[in-house]
Amino acid sequence: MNKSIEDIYKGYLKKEFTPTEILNQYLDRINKVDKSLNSFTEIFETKVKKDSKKLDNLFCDEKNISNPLFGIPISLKDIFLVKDSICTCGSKMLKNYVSNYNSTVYEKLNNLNVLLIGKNNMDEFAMGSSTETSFFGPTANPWDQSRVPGGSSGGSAAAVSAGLSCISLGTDTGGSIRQPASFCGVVGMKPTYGRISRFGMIAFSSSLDQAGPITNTVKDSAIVLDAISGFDSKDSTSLNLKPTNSYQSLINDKFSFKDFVFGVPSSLLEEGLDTEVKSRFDELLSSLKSLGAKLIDIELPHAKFSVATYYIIAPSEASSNLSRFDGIRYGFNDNGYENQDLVETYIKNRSLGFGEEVKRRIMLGTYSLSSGYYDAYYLKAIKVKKLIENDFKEVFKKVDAVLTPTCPELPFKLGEKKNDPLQMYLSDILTIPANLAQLPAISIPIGLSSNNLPIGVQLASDKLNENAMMKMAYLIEQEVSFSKTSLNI
Amino acid sequence: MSKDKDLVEKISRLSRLKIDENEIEGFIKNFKDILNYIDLLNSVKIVEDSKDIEIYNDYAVRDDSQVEKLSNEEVLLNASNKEGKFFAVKKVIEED
Repeated sequence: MNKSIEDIYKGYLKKEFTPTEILNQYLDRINKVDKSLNSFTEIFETKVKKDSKKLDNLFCDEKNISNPLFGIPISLKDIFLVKDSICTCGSKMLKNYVSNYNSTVYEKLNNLNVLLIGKNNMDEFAMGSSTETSFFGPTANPWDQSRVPGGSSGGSAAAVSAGLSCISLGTDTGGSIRQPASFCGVVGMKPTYGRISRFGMIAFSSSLDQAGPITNTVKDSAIVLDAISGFDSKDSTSLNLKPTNSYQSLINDKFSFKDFVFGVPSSLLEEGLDTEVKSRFDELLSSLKSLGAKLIDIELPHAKFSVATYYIIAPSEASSNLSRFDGIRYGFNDNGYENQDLVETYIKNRSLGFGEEVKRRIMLGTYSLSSGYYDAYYLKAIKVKKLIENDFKEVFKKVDAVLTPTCPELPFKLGEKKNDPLQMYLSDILTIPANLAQLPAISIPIGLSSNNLPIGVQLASDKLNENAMMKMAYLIEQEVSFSKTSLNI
Repeated sequence: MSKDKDLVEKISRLSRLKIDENEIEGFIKNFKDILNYIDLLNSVKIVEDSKDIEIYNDYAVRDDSQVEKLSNEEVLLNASNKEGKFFAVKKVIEED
């Protein structure tokens, strides 16, 4: 259980097992465990078994295994299109939607001969922090099944944590990769906005959405980032840059804590932190200091406005992006088109196809963009977003990374916040700033609470500074040596 | 309350959505909580015309050349109602 990409790759090179043998280990585990976790929306069992047979033949010749992702069992958040298969985005609206093209990220991984096991459960249209808004039922946290795995990429984080897939891709608009990674005790990384193509990834908030890996180790995260990053002419916000080389720089460069300066925004962490999260974070800071890292106190004066800013920008863009789901070209259709006018058809299909949280956010966005409110809400939020970005720009003149807990709290109980959306939104308070400022950020597990729940730390670096961020994350990972021996599933 | 209800109905119509009568009250409460929280932004001082808030949109534009497109069949793949090569909806043109 919980093999890393490197473990499997080394095993293949030594001919310790075949791709089919590895795949079967994962499929067996899914059969045993996923009934209780519900981390997958679909398993491509027949197709992936066929794929692994093909790789069994290729694998005899070492020349064919030139990349570490060869024969790695992966899963994808059900927001990424894979040609000829259903992509639900966690919604009744798309429960029968068949993709007719591939997302760029899947295309890139597929070219490297990965084994796609299936699609992971998620909050409906990525709107949520607990995976409870999925039309297909909530996902449970592998560490305590009465608790949420976080969200919106909760299925991905739970699957990687429980050893049901080696890696998964998630998406992060306000923390949707990092927060579930923290809740499930795995590594979750959101790159600089524009690093990874969003083509074929169902849009939520286009100026904030970014894909990224959920993995067991920092090295795995680097391997996947390198494989899926790079310019794509099919995404107008894709940065015109080559793929990253973070894995090579991680294994070839010499570095230690002494090379880095960490900034801690203490005033932002004064209130609202769970005591165990706080004490584990403080312990980490002390050990970093003793290892020679330089820690300085920083100010991010506008960060406290992040959640308010986010809940204007994201719903506004969502209300526009989700207007495409009319049930006519695709999506849930109530089938009575002959007898009702077009607007009534839209209203009926959309009201029956979308869940409560999605409706709330579409309406919030429509309200913020509506006549008379645009200047007070959307325009104002865009300006505050810029001020938050400026705060970070100033800070990165002095530090290499901003260090905070990933979440202010421990994984909460299923149902605990379901009826209080504002409380749910506030759980993203430490992850949202990186999205607003377009920064790369990573969550790494650093320990467990007294009741055996994972705690994560977040590192955010300057734009395009993923290589250095991975190095710092790797150093922390080595220092804390987080263990999963107490994960009983 | 009825003013709030009117607003929710107006916004839901603009959003092409309908909120069930029995859900409206809870919806208004949550909506108000969120809007009150968002009002936090009123306390941010913004110096208009300052360089600090200049916003650029430097998105790339692809070459104006022919690209691979989906076929008619592929486009109609997920449509519930179709007639020949078209999506089917109720006629929207008034007859004389």
